[in-house]
Amino acid sequence: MTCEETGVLLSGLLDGRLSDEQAAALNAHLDGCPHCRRELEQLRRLEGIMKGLSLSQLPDQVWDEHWRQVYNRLERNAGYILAGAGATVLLCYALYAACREWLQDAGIPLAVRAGCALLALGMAVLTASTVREKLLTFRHDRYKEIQR
Amino acid sequence: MSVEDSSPREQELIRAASSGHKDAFGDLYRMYAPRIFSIASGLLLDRDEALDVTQETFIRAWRALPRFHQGSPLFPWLYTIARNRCMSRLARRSRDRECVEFDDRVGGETDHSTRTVEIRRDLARALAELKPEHREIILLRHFQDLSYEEIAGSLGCPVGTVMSRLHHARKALAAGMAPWKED
Repeated sequence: MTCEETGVLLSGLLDGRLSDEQAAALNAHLDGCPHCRRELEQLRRLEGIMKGLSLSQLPDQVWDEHWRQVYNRLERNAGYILAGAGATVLLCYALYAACREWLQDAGIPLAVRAGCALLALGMAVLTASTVREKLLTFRHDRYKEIQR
Repeated sequence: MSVEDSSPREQELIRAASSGHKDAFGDLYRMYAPRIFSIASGLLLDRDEALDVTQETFIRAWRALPRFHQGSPLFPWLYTIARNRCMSRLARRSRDRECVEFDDRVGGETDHSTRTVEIRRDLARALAELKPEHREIILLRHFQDLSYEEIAGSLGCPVGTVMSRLHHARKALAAGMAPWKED
């Protein structure tokens, strides 16, 4: 076993994560290698320094206040979604009503009507394709909960 | 609470929160927000940003909760969200700002002795100088007391990688704590 191979095992030894075979091989190496023994000693000292220390925490009242902020944002988000959905429904209806009125207008030449109909159809196909792609990507995305 | 085993109480809260019960989500928030904050604070070295990340994490978690795999422990999932928020903030930064902050209490008692204060200060500085990936694994192992398996689950990497990364992180930290190594 080389010193390089020993390195990672030292951490495993500190954490009690080595198999009996690994521990035996490591101990055999340590017996004959003062460099690795010193490294193990330094890591043990570091463990000792960190033992008992904990990261500073905020008082409970901060979390109560913070939760109220989170709660308000969740509630507002629901409001944004509902308002957005309502606006979308109204917009779609307005577009439908405008198109129907326009198609019924006999004064518009047939070529213009046909061109507009094809344009609208093309836009619909593109939109449907994009939505389908997004849905498929989303379904197979392992990281969908994670921010982009 | 162990992050490997999801308790029945946690599962009950997750189910209720997934159905839209904000009070249940509030209980989950109180269970995990301090831990998420603690790691985010250690990673970002900035308490205000850590609070923002904690808030963003739970707002994203609320939206994604109906898709959460029931029965799984919540913490690794929450931590993955928080970690990504932290990493994207760190990537936008040119340098770290503050130091890791430790609790004044050591072993449950307040300790203001010169030696303890100096050790704490040097450890905070050495941790702040580590690469975020190294700082993160030290925080998870030593200050959140997670097992290798729990860390692997939280980081989405094999246990062997955890051991290897932890060793490199410890070596880097030991190098940064040089004055205390030979005591």
